[in-house]
Amino acid sequence: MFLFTGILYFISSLLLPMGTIEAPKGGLFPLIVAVFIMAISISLLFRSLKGGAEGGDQIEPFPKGADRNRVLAGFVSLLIFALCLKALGYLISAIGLMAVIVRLFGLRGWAKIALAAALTGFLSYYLFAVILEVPLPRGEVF
Amino acid sequence: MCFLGCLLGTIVGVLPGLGPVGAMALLIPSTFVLGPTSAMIMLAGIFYGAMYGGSTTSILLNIPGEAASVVTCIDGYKMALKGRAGAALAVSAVGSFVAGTLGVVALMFFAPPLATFALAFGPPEYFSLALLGLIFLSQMGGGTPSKSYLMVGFGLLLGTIGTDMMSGITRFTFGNVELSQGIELVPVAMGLYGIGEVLLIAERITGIPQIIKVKLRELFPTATEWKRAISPMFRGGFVGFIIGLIPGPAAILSTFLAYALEKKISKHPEDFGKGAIEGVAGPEAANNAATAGSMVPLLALGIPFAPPTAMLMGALMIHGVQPGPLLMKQCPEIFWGVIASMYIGNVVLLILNLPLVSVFASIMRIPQHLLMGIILVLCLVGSFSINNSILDVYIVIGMGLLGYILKKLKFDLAPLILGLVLGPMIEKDFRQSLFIARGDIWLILNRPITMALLGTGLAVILTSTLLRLRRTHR
Repeated sequence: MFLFTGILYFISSLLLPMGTIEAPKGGLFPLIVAVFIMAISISLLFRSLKGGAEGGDQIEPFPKGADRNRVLAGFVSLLIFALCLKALGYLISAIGLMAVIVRLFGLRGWAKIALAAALTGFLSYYLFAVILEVPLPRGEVF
Repeated sequence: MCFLGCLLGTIVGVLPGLGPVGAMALLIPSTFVLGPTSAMIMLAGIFYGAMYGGSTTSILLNIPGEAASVVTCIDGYKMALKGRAGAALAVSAVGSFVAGTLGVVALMFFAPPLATFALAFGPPEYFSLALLGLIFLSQMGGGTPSKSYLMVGFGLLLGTIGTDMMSGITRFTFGNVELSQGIELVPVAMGLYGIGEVLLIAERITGIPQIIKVKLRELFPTATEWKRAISPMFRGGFVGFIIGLIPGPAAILSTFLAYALEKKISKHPEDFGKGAIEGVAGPEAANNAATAGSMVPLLALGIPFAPPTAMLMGALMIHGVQPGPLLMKQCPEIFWGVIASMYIGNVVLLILNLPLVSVFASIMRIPQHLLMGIILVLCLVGSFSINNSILDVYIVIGMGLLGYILKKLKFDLAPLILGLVLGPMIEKDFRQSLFIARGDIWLILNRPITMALLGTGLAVILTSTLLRLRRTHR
């Protein structure tokens, strides 16, 4: 993943103007960074292929089953929030997100879920839209 | 603002997971209505307040609220099990106050002459100093150096997205007009530290922890405990401040060093790990002094050497203030305002943390589902409010997933944050250096300060590599 990103970054950097060593332009620094990323990624790849899992090289296993589904569901909820933000507006999107999240994290009872979601949605709207005067999306559908 | 920052910092310190960086990222949008001085005072309050709060759960629950409070768990919790939780909390709070105050005094004396000295710095010196900071952080940070360097690379990569300030061309925007403004620090930090942490917590739902109750009358250590704790407070303060000056995870490193020092020189080393009060006083003093020390490079040089000070720098830039050695002359109200607020903040924190310790500890009783939901909503709306852009919402979500994956793969996130913050500065100074030297690299390296800084960086890399190889061959 890292090496792939480094390669893409390297190729994209080559399309930028490099300038000269006396007058470098916008492409030189990204090119140097891309080479750096690729070099480190290749070294990490070799180490992991050699099978050296010592100290800081060890990783935490990714969850399985219900735990994994909960993480994925949480992430997908966030994406849906972002996708709905413009169409439904901040308030409805935030209430919906909060309802899903508290349910995912174990809250039972639809009344409690609705209360938690509504309170969070309205309080956050009040803090940002009213007090801080942030122009939060109002929605296009309603 | 100071009181609010300290209060929020203590709450954040008590809650495991969020940390001062995530909290500062969440609260930066709410500082838009404040001036830069008030914003800095509040955010700095969160930074050192978190150090006070982190010890509360370490002692009462054996759960470090903050990474810098991990060491306090060792002896602090053991003291609590022996019925001496109040004494541990009192010594922790007083030690933090003493060392924090001494650290601020030292900051007051160190920062102005350093800022004056730094006026002689040119682009090559700033380039090498920033590079040295990234090298130190990568070599001495949490993970393996190669992983940390990779994170630095990614941070630098993110910093190149947007409009090149020197030539005006857009880079890596793929035709997206909003991306031409670049990737902001706040959504990245919110995503990595905020959403990433929530996704990590989502893996396992925990119940409400059992908290050891502490009564007000139990807060006073005995005369013997005070006698044993006083010297470690001062030693920890000294160690913490010096470590804070160096790039890297200063607060965490300082606590480990302070603990090791106390154990080494103690007349009762066998007590360590079983409830030695020195094992609480020294580290807690160290982490607070380290926060003062880490403010020196930010205020004097305009270079953050740790993620919390990177957030402070981000906040300054959002408010249109250019950090650097001229900050003291051009914006003395910010410079001295922050220092004065740290004095006041230490007093406020001592008052908050002693009598109200049970109140703060009971914050842990807030149901996880509520807390996680609130953090997520704040991350999303906070990131939107930076530029009123839905793109920032996507960025914070993407960074959240990345943060989750990187934490699972044991990557340290701090180098990525610093790479993002320092990247544009490093590039600007690098290109300006080449302009000045007309491409002659030796002209750049021949400058004494540049040579000293780059030489130090090389020495750190070589020493660290040799030590690692020696350890592997044993």
